[in-house]
Amino acid sequence: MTRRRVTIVILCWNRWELTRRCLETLKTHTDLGQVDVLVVDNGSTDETPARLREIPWIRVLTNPSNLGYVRGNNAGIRAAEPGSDVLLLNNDVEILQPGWVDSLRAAAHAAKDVGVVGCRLVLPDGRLLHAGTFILPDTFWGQQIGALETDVNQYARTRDVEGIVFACAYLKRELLDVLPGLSEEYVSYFEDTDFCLRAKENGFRTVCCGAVTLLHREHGSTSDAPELFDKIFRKSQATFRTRWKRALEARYTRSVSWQSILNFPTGYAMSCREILRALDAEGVRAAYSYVYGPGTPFPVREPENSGDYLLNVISKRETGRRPPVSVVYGQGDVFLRNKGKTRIGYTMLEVDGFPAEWVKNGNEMDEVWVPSAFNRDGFAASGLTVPARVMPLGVDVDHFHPAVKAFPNPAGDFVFLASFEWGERKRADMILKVFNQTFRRTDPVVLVCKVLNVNKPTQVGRQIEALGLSQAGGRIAFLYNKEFPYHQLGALYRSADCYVSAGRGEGWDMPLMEAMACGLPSIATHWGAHTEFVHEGISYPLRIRGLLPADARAPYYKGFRWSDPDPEHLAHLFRHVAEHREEAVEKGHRAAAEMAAKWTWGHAARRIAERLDAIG
Amino acid sequence: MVEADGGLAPLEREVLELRALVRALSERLAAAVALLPRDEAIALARGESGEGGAGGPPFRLTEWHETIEVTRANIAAEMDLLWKRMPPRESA
Repeated sequence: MTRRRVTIVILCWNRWELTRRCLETLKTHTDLGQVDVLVVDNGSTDETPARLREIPWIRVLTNPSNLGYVRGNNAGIRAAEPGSDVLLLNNDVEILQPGWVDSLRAAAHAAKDVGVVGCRLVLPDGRLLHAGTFILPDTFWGQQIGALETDVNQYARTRDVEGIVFACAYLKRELLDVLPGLSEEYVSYFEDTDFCLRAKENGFRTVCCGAVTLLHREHGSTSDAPELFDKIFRKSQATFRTRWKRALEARYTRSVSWQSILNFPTGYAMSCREILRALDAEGVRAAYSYVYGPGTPFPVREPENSGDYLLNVISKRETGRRPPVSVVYGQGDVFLRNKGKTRIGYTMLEVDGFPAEWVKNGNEMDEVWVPSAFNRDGFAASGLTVPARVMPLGVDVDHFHPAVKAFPNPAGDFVFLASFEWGERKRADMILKVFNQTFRRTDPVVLVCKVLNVNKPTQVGRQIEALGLSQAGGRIAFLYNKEFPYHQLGALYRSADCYVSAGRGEGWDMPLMEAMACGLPSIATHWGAHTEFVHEGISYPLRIRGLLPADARAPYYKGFRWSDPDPEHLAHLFRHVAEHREEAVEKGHRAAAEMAAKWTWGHAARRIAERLDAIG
Repeated sequence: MVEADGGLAPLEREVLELRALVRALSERLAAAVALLPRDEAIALARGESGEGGAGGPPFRLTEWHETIEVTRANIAAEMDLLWKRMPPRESA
């Protein structure tokens, strides 16, 4: 690996206390033999100049007055050691980990075309401030990725991003030879995104190195003066818009109207959010509209705010009365609300066929998409005559991966985790009984069940006690009706050792995929959509005894069948996993690798984009 | 099917080995049972316990709040509570 010398440029203007902390933490966590530290004093009038003179291991460049962020940093870049890479660092940043420069340098030199490297930035209160940036041509307002989520080590890999904030920016010399500094058309704000976009124009990628996390106090020089901030921001935004409007709009090479559900805690809504984000990253300009509401089986109006900037923008885009291509992503009974010239219905179901109304509506579409061959075959068996295409869903490997923070059982017990809505389909009764009977209370094994129930007549507690479980049997604990923010769910999976999804049938099963992406071995019913991505190499497929009539409250299941998972095999797998932990860990590793290699939302969006291209 | 010419000998040897194995297992079982509390030993003898957790006092939920309200929770705080609620295996 290239061990090119690095000049760390720290721009400061007054606020000595911030600069002092930055330099102290830098000295603690940096091999000063490998770097040159250049502090650019932008004309400070407090004790900063005198204090800087007392530090022997830094070089100081003093500007006669405050030149602003852009010109101040450019002075630093020009004064950097010849031939060195440059690492711009804000003085309100603190270093938290050793080896941070090495990691940034390794990311920069991992490929010839990497030009800019940023990192994760966290706030002192533990929230994630930054893991890259994006800017939409709809608003020209730069957004930080992962902004203000609780930090559970999401976005831990090195990944391509549109931009980064320059609070920490590693700039490779090859790029600086082409772009010798930030654009001085900006006083402050937008200059970092502008630089990254110019780097891209010159053939250099920008990446965010998730292995490095720095603390950012965000005590920028204008944050305490909102009027000044607003003035500088608007001026820079206008400059940026003029320069980049056409290029940003050209990022979208296809468009689609997406009619679905977004702002409710349902499976379709959760996956819809991920699909829309991934489509945007794939260059598909999606315009979202709500497909349910009055006159549909879900007659509730949708709240407008998704809590997510990108999704809110996508929701406000106009689709027109008759868009060229529209996808209804939801149950088949709303397919006919599709308003496109080319009409696509995208749905799934947990049983071996589809209701007559869904099939009738499906036959009114130009084509039907389903996530699994299981559903494609079910549609065909139910009489669908238009083409049915398998368009798998995916998993978010930035929030679900093996390095997500865990909260492990302090007693060291092996933890099985099951997560389900209480009901017939998920076989909660079987999972609890089999676990309780397979293990004894004295065994170092526990089962954690995350249970949801929003159906008032269902008394979950009574039903659990009526199962006849034994206090002397395997220990079970419940997380009952707790909803965790989606970005924290990976930490739940990482706090367990094996995930259990032993239900009768699934239309996809995002939680199982998320657990697998987190590196957990899993016991999963080998039927339904599971067969699309579960196999012996990465999981413990649970045998079924056969198929049974799908007897449940859901009207869509009537007349169809689902599986009968084998309780004896489940008992065997529980014990096998608990007794062969190294083997299970290995399967978990392979599961995480396979999820990242084959099943991300990026893969899902790429397939959709390819299909849209083919439709024309 | 047993061969006529001396074919019984291997079978007889196997029977002897199996009997020895059964004796050894019985002794190990008796030694293990002797370490159990009286009630559990009786339950085991009645075939109520076996390998799994059948038998014993019935399972009762503690700190269960039946509701259909879904509460938004923080993972760190909730996992901390969960592990504190988990019955320790030592107290079995």
